[in-house]
Formats: sequence, C-alpha cells, structure tokens
Amino acid sequence: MLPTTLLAKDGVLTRELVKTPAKFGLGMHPEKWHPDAVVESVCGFCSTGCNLGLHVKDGRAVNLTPSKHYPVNQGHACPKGWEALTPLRAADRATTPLLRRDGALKPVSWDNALRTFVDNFKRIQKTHGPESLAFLSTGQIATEEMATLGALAKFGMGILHGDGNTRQCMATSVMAYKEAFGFDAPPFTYSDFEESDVLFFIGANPCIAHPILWERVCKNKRNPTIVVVDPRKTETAMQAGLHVDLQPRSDLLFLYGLAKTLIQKDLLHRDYIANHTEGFSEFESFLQTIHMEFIQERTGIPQETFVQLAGLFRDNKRVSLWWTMGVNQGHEAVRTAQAIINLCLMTGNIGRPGTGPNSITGQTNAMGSRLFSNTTNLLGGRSFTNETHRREVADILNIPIHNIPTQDSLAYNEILEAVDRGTIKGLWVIATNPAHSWIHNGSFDKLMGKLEFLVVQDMYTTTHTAQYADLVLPAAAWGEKEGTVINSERRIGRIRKASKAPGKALADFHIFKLVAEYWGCGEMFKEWTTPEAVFQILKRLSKDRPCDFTGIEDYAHVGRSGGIQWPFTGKPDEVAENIPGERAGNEIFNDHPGKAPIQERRLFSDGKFFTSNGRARFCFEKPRALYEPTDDAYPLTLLTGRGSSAQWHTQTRTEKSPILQKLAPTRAYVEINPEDAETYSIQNGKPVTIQSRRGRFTALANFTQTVKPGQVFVPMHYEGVNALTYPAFDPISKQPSYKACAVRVSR
Amino acid sequence: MGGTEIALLWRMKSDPHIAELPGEPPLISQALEDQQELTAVDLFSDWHEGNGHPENRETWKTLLPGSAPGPGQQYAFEVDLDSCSGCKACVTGCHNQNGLDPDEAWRSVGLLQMVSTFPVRSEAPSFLQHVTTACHHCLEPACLSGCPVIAYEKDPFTGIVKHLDDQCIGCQYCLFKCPYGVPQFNKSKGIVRKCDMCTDRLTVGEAPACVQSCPNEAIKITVVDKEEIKQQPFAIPGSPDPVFTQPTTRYTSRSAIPADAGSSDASDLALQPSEWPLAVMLVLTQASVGGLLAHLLFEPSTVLILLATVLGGLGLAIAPLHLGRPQFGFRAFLGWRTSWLSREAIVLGGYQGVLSLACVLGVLPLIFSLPEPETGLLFLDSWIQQLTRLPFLNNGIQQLNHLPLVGSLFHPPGWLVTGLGWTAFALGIQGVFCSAMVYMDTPRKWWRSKMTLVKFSLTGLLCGLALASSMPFTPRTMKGILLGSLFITSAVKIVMELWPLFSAKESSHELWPVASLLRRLKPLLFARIAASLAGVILLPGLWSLGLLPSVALVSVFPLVLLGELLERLVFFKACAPPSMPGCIVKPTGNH
Repeated sequence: MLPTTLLAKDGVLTRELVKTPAKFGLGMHPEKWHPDAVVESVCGFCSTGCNLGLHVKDGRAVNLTPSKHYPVNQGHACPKGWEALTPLRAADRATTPLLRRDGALKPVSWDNALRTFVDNFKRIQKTHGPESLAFLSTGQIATEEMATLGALAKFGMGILHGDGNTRQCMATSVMAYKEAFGFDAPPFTYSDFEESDVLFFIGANPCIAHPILWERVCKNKRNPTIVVVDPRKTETAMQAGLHVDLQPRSDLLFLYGLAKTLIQKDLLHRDYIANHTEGFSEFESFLQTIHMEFIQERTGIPQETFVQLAGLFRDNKRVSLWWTMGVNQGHEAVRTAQAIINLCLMTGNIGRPGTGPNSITGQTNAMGSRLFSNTTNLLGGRSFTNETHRREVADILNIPIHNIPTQDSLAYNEILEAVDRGTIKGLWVIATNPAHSWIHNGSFDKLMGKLEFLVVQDMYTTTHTAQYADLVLPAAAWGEKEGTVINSERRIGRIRKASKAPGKALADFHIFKLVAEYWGCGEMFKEWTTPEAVFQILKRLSKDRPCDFTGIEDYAHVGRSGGIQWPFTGKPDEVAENIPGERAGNEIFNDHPGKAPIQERRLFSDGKFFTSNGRARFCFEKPRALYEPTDDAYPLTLLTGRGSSAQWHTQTRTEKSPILQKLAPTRAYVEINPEDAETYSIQNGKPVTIQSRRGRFTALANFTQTVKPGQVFVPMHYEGVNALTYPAFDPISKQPSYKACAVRVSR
Repeated sequence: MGGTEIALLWRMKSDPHIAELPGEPPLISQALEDQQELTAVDLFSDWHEGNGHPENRETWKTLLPGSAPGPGQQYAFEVDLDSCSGCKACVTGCHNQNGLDPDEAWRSVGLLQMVSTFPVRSEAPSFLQHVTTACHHCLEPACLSGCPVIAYEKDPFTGIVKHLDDQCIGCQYCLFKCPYGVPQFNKSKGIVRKCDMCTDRLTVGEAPACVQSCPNEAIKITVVDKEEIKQQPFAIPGSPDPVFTQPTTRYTSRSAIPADAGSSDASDLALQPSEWPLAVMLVLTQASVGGLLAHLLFEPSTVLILLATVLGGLGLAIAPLHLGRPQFGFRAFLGWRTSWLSREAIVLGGYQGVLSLACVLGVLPLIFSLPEPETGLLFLDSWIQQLTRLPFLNNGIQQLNHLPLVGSLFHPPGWLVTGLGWTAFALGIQGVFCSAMVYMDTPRKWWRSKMTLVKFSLTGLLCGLALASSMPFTPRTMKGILLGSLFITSAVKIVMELWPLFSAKESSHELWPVASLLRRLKPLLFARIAASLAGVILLPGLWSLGLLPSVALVSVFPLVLLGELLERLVFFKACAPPSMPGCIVKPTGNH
C-alpha cells in the first residue's frame, strides 16, 4: 500500500460530498447540508404550485427537495423549483432603500425613504388630482400582500388606478370564465390530466413551461390521445399523437371550425346544452355565417383533420381542453378562450373527471391576484361598480363606503397610456419588470421620463425598471416571508419564511403596513397585523362568494392538508375521513384524525354555474383580422414564448443561478426555418437582425423545421424582444397580443 | 407624522428590548426585527422528524434493478428517450442532492434536431429530442487510464467509475481523455469531480439523484451484460465513437432517431482554453532538446547547453501552473503503467536531470581551469572566465584547485560530459514522443493524427536549427545550409498546421470543426506566421545580402520560438473536442 501522501483515498475533499442518512425523509443526503428543520413552502415561480421542502440549517435555507406528500408535484420539481433558493443569495439584492440624488440611486434610511415616498405621492395627488397616481403590481407576491396593497392604495391612499402584470398573462382567462360561468372559476383539478381520454393543448407547451403538469399527463393510465394545437412543433407537440400546426392567430377560426364539425357530425350532448347552458342556438346560427372553406384556408388545416378531431369527442369520451399563453396573449383572446369553453359546453365535457375548459395559469399567484388584488375586481371577485358589493366590503372591513372607488381601475396598457399623456405622474411598481416585459416597450425611456416620481419595490436593484426609479424599496423575497398563494387549480397553499432577508429588506407586507402608517391611514389596517390575520380577513371577504373558503381554519390547516382548493366551507361533500397512521390518506400529516379536505375537487359537477340563472353562456364573436398582417416589407410572423424550462420571464431571478444559466441559451436566438434562412441568406449560428416597424433586435440564428416557413420564433426572456412586438390588445381583457407581429430578417 | 406617533399606531410589542436602529424609528426597527425572525420554522418542521427513510421511495423504487450485477455485468444508466420531455430537472436534482458547488453540474441535457444543410429539403420532418447524459461508467474508462495519479477507480463489482477527489492534482488530463465531457474541473477546489452514480445512495438501496428527480421516470439504473453492451453501444447521432471507452449507458426509444438528426450545437463551436502553461512547457522542452542537439553537433562552447538547460527548466517550472493543486504534483509518476502524461512527466524530468548534470560538468572546467583567455569564445563563456578572475573568487578557486580529489572532480573527462549530453538527448527525444502521445492518446481527431508527433519534433528541430545557425562559431557556409533547412522546415510545418483548412472543405469532414475554429483564430495564425517568416526569411535574407551583420542572426531563435509558442496556443484553442449533443447557444459559446 502506498502512503497517503502518495495515494489519498480519503480526506477533506472526499468528505465534502459524502452522503449519509438524513432526517425528514430525505434519505441519503450530503452530510454538510443535513438540515435542522424542513419548512414546506409552495414554489414562487409558476402557477403549477409545487410544494418544496426548504432545508434550514443554522438559521439559513441551504437546500430544498420537492415535497412528496403534496398532491400537486408528488416529489418532483422543474429546474426553476430546484434552484428556487439561489436567486435569494444574489449579490445584487436590494438591501437598503435607495433614493435618487444627483442622478444616482443612493442609500437612505427607511424613515427617509417612506417620508419621501409619501411626500411626493401626496404632493402629486394634491397638484394633479386623484387620477394622477397608479400602481403596477404582480402575480409573484402572497395573496395577503396583494390584498393589503390593494386595500391600502385604493381605500387608504385614494389611488384610483392599479393593475398587475397578471394583465400580461391571465386577464383573458378571467374575462372568458367570468362571462361564461358568471365567475372567474377555473373548473379543473390536476387529476383531470390523469383522468382524460383526450387532452387538447391549445397554445400551451407544458413540457417546457409547466413540466410538472406534463408529469401528471404522463401519469395518465387511460392511454390518452394528445392533441397539440400550436403553430410550432414544440416539445409537447413532439410528444403528442396529433399536432395541429395551424397558422398563427387563426386559433379562433380553428375552434369555430371544430364546433361546426361537431354540429355537422351531430356529436353534441343535447341534454347538457338544454339543461345547463344558454345561447347555443344563437351560437349555432352564428357558426353558419362562417364557411368551412374560409376556415380551412385561414387556418391551413384540412377538412380531414377537423373530422378526425371531432371524432375524438365520440362515445362519451372524457375530453379536456387546456390552454395557456398561446391563447391568452392574442388580439381576440377572450373569444378564443370562450370558443374552447363552448366546445366543452356543447359536448358536455365539464364537471366530470378528465374534462373541462381548463386555463393553465402563469405566475405563482396569478389566481390570488384575480380574487384579491383589488385592482380590476373589488376584493373577493366583486365589482367596484356594484353598490351591493361595495357595501359588503365596507362592512366586512369596517371602513367608510365612500373610501371605495365607484369606478373600475384603468388597465395596465391604459395606465401606461395615461403616463404617456401626462395624466399619471406618480407610479409605484411592485415586483415586476415592465421595462422588459411590456409589449412594444422600445419607448419605455421616454415614458418613464414623463413621471414625476417612480417607486420600484423589488428584491433586486438591478432590474431594468429599477434603473428608472426615483426610489427603490428593498423587498424580502419568496422564502423570506409568510403568506398564501393560489395555484391554477384553485389550491390555496402556503409560502413560508425559511431564510432571513438581506440587510434592511422587508417583506412586501411590512412595507405596505409602513406606507399605511406614514400615509396616515394606519388606523384602517389595525386589524391587519400579520399575514395570517389578513388571511382571516380574506376568509370573511370570500364568504358566500363562489370562492368561499371560510371552512379553512388557519395557516396550519392549509399546511397539513396539502393545500386546500376553493371553495371550501367544510360541507360534507368537500371532506373525507382522515385515518390516523395512514399517510396515503387525505392529509400529509398522520396525526390529525377527523375530517380533512378532499385533495382534488373540480367545479360544476352539478351543472350549476355562477350566473344569475345558473346556466353557462355561449359567448362568441366574429373573428377579426390581425392588426399587423405580414406584407412584402415585413414578410415573416414573429412568434414569442417561453424558451426553456430553466428561464422565468425577464430572468431577473433565473439569471442569478449559474446552473439554470447552464441549462438555457445565454444569448437570444431566433428559430427560423431553413427555407426562410436560405431565402434571406442567413447562416446557422450567426447573428440575425430582426426588424419590425417599431424596432430591431439581434439574435443568433437557429435553423429548425419546428417553425414553419414564414414564421420565426424568439423566446421572450431576452431584453429587447418587446421592442419588436405590436401593441395590440384584446378589447375585452386588455391583454397584450405578444404572439404575432410582422417582421423581416437580415444578416 | 413623527416616528413616535407612528410607533403608537403600530402593533407595539410590550417587549422593551427592541432597540431603535440608528436613523430608524421604533416602528421600522420592529419590522426589521420581525423580518429577521425565523421562529415559525421550529413550529412546523417537526412532523417528519426522526424518519430516516427516504420519503419519496414509492416514486423510484421500480427504477432500480432487482438484483446486483453478477460476473460479466455492471450497473448502467438507462434513458427512455420517449419519456424525456426536456425539462432538465435531472441536472438540478443531481446538483442539489449531491451538494455540488453553485456552478457545478455532473449531468447535462442536449438537444437533437434535424441537421440543416443547403439546399433545403422541404420534406424534412421537424424533430426534437432532448438527450440527458452523465458519466457513462465506461468499460474502458479513458479518464482512468489517462490519470497520472491513479485518481480513478472502476469498481470491480458495480462497474462504477469513481474519482478520488483527495488524490487529484487537478491536471485535467481526464477532460482531454473523456470523449463525453464528463469530468468537471472545479476551479475553486483545484480538482476534477464527476458523477459516481450516487454510490452512497445505491449502496443503501436508494436511487441516484437524477433518477429520483426525473418527473417522467426517464432515467433508471439497470444491470447490463458487458459483452452485450460492447456489441451494442448506444448510437446517438453526433456522439463520439464508442470504441474509445465503451460507454455503458443505454438509450431506448420506440421510434428510431432520424438519420439526419444531429446535435443542435453542431454549428455553435466554442474556442477551447489556450492551456498556456502546457503550450509553453511543450515548446520550451522541445526547444531545449533541439538546442541540446545543436550543442552536441556544432558547439565548441557551452552556451547552447546552458540555454537548453534553462529552457527545459523553465518549461518544466511553468507546467505546474496548469495544475489545480501543484503542491501534489509530485504524485504525477504514479500512473506510468497506463498514462502518457505520467510517462511524459517521468521522462522529461529525467531529461532535465541528466541535462543539468551534463551542463554543470561542462561548465566547471571553464571556471576551474583558468586558462588564458581564448579568442573565439562566446561572450557567455568569456563572462564566466572574467568572473572567475575577480581576485577574491580567483583565490578561492586556486586553493580548491590544489586539493587533489576536488581538482579532478572539477575537471571531468570530456567523454563523460559528451556521454551525458547524448544520454540527455536520447531522453529528450523520448520526452518529445511522450508529449506527443499525451495528445495522440485522446479522442480528439486533430490531436490523434501522427502529425502531432511530427509537429512536436519539428518544433525541436526548428529551434535547434535557429540556434545553430545564429551562433558566431558556426562557419558562414554552414550558416547558409542551416538557414536554408530552417526555411524549408518552417514552411513544411506551417502548411501542416493549416492542413485542416485545406482538407476540410465539407461540413461532413471530420476536421471541419477544427477548420471552423482555425478560421476564427485568424489574428493568432497571422501573428504565428509573421513571427516565423521574420525569423526564417527576413533576417537571413537581409544577412545574406550583406545588409545585416552576423550578430543580428541572434534574433532568429527568439522569433522562431515565438512562432512556435503561438502555434501551440492554436493547437489547444482550435481542437474541438467530441461531445454528447449540446444545447443551442451554449453558455460557453464564444461569439
């Protein structure tokens, strides 16, 4: 044997990676990271709502593992989830308030920062009137924080206008459901992925955008037929049995074509239509005005495909139709989503396992925002223009009714237009990065220059938007604060504090509370002492609303139940017996005998909807032409979307993880069909200039047949993409149409 | 509103210990203190306290083999390509569950697409297939055979190729040797680390981290028959020839991968690190051997042997700068049975030792013989003699010289010096051979060519010619012959270096990636050629025309040496390694 000087089989470096049995059900785990505690928290990226066990050691979150006993993710996570803690440790975290002085952002005390904030906003409000202030919020903070912000801004500070970045992702689904069902109520539960015979994914690429939902599809034991409707051959399309590669933005026509074919082939559920819906005959006659030949021409989809797809609805099969941003970000998006809903209504594919018109949400708490952000909707999915609703809220919150605005807030695009017009002079941006993400943002510089005071509240000082700020408020991040979020399937889950915020960063909740005190309306929020206290207020606000969750006791109840879907009032059909000692039961805890919420529940099994007459409505409208069709000067259609599973939106967080950076292209690229590449003399891997009427953008060419000739695809994650996009909006949801504009490419 | 008033409105804790932060009223101090509290953690973390079993066992228990490997078998990864949707959770799962450093990944996921060539085939189907890959735990691991410090072991029972982290000296030769880019150099630790199939987990019946973290059960551990896997290695388009190492991973799919699918990073080649300490070491040791030959053949003095010794010494002194842990560099001889790097270290070490001895023995008489100043001696030699004539040194030397034994020791017989010189040269030749084999024994196409040996040898020859021709002792006619040879040899070598540019015209050519990278190194190539041309044409030309004095030829060698150093940087930077499929727009991409 050689001496260890010559041959060292063990030592510090070897032991660095040694794995030994750890507690908390982790099995073998790196010894250096054996946790002192594991804190369960819903992930802070997307709306899938995976639960993560955060490993705390010496008062610091050192690692995480996806929770096994959570009905959503069942022990798995996507790369972003696995890396959720890394962005917290970034060097560019905001650690102290920063105030712009002599052109540069300089550290100031919280006291100074809050005084300056309040002084400037009050001055603007006094000088320019109540219309002159606005806030832009997010789908990334806890429901309790959204509600506190919404109530503070609108009832306390008298700010009339506020909207969230959820306008960019979910506004369409909100309006579609609201009009069709009488309430913004996604009807599904994730087990529907496993219970379907046929799954349609329309403008959705779960393999990349929602990997854990795709996991649920893979768990389907019914040998399902998977149909992907998408102009691109995405990863999901590769996995599908049938890829409908329709022309960009012809989805509404395509869906109407499918409806026509279903009628023609008499594959309707007449009883369901008669008993639970209204407006079908009008829809039927409307469809007659659109000719199948026209549909085939515009969509590029042949008649056989329509017949084949209609055939999938035969034999009472369970058909579920899932959509996300491909539908939501369109110029006639609400009608498109409703065309999906119509298909379900006319074939009775709703309220049963494995069915439903199902909108997959984007951000972790877009659903919380939809109910409680108090922006476009009054708290609890109510309306500002409805006096009864205002009265209810005033009574529940014990505030004067005249503090509640009687008008709807301006939408995101209208707020920015008002900034441009000079009507809005003070803007408060919370946890979002519009300078990168907002559509057609080439002129953002100019826009921000028109503001008298811009407050950016964020976990980083380096976001593009923060560079314009007059005041930066340092926010604690996900993982550093408490609250609840609501996922795509209406599941209320907890986010938890497992790590200390850096420096003087404060939870958004604390910041809102402090602003309230400095503004002088702290008295109004004296009951809003902690996030959990706010949760109890939210319960009261939900009472007798479709989202009623008054049956949830407290945070602990949410935690031990693996999240609880709304509605939950504790009615007998919502609960099941939990048998102590049987971990496979309804609760993740085995020491809580008694009734526990059933973990997977869907809506409308009784065929009763939230409309005044209890019937679901067929909503439809004549398709409209694209705002900017291609022409000789700009002959290609630009598609945008998610690039990889390792990137999140504007990358402010995911770019902080070296591992996620390894898993994603680090430079912008454009997918282009080799045929077009040949036409425009573009070389694979070489820079390409993409130009629209509004701006230009450079990316590396990636030749691929997954985009069809005449189309190019650029991921949304790279700064500058939205200098190209055309500012078209759905007229009902005001959601921007990111998915189609005319461009040309050159070397 | 003042801070005190605000504090009254805030929920005040009765707790008086809350200190006011400088510049912040109590209200804010309270919030900041709340923010730093982690008490909630304790309340909710107890529920699976004490449970030592892996909680997620149900999700992966079917992904482990039912029995341990028998004779002729080993463990292997098996990847179901149909189930892999490209989410890449396996990479992050491995990263987190193994406690790797922030930028360290032992698994990677590449993408296969249709290879696009002009003219476009419009009927080409669209195709996307993600390919997850980690260590293939090869039957013939090249990392293991190349390691100079025997820091790799292949477990005879499981077949797992394990790296001994504490043994590693960070030479990174395994990065050159592995065709799949598996070993990862950890800069901060100065060592290489790699996948060990989560041996710690497998040992207790737990699944490796990647297996546990794949949402779609695409990765599992199987027992494979070695003979079978040798006969049927995986065939992923664009992946390296399995013959080098015989990888054991199995990739399965219901449908065949289209014939013209290829890695999506095929057009996105990255320039490789220059490995400058290695480049300098190679060129200097080769120049040293060439200089020694010039000394042995032509020189009546000791300048060239001194120079050869210094060049060799410098080269070997700079080489360890390449090591992550140079303090353990002395282990480098351990792998001599299989590793050309070990052999290079041993032989070049021996060369330098013998050369140094020959040099010292050659120089001693100059100091101790104290002859009358000779005419024709080179400046260096005469300097040494001038030095020994300084009174205080001279006295000492005279006295030493008069001691009988010492005296004879200081005047070694000529045959001994010459014999040692030729011995050193023989070792030097073998050293250059070992150096070439270090690169020829890798799976990199360009390096594997015999041209590598020729190039390395010619570097030595060129340096020898340059030195011999520029020395004042060389007669003018001989100078002419030597300079002529220098010119021809240089020209041949430069053509040889640029050969991929001439031969690889089609993207299907095996040297196409090298040619592409060479094109991106134009400035470096120009500098390399310019230095050589100045040394082998310009200076000799001017000299032969009588426009320059002979002494100016002293500059020939530095120019030739510079040219060779630049050539060697190109040698490293342009050699595209084989790899598993990569991603589009690689992070390492250098555009």
